Amino acid sequence: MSSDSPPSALLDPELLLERYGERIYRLARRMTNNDADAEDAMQNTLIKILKNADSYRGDSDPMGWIYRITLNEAREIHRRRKRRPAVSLDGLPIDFDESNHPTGIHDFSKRPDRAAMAGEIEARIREAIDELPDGYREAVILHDLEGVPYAEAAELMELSLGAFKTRLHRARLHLRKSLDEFFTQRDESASTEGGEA
Amino acid sequence: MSGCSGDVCRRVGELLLQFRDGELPPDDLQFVRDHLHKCPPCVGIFNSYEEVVEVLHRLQPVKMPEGLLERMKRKIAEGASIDDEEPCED
Repeated sequence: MSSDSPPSALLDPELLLERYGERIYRLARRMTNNDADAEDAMQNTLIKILKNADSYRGDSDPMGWIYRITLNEAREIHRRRKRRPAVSLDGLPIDFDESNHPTGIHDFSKRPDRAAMAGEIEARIREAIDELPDGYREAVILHDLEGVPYAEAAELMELSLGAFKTRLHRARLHLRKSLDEFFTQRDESASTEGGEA
Repeated sequence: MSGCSGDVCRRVGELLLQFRDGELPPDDLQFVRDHLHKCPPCVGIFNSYEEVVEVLHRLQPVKMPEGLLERMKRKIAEGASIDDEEPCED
């Protein structure tokens, strides 16, 4: 349902923070991967919402509009601070051999030491998310971390549903490859240490 | 991986998200299932892909720092401004 006047929470800072503050911060923190940057992105987002509330023409739930502003502000700050170039995901992030078969694949899903390494795995996944190009990182953050359904996330990112899923899939495959490399390196260093002992 | 051609592995790799979500049309579904029965590397990719999605869903939730909302209220009340003031689209 569309209305001529914006929802009251977009006009009142207290109400805006009370209703949407936590979700804005959460998305900004995921996007920037840093406390101070997340606060800057949140502050910019709040100010932008309050300044532009009169131009809001959506329905009574402005969360999509708020998410879009948060994404833009957090992306801008993340780009400014980012030092390492993002990985390329133009192709499928799977290594294939000369006959086009997947190579170097380790199925780490049944490793008995996964639970004991939960903290390291989480840290590696966060690093790998940060290495993704913006459009791929946003797909993972919106859908897999924030639980935004496919169609809404695609709309937020101004992508077709198919394009959104392709990005999400390649991003997940990159994360899979990163974890694969993490376990391989860990096993190699454990075997080297074992050999030296 | 006897009995499978590399091009099939690549195609299956492209379809894993829809396979996981149960969104493949019947022909493609059978194609992926048949392939996974005979290709251990692709099974490895699929199982570890599943694991990644589970790790993502289990990641620690983001918690707001203590006093953040109050700080934000103060900053907004003090009239903090940003450089880019272009109007937003709906």
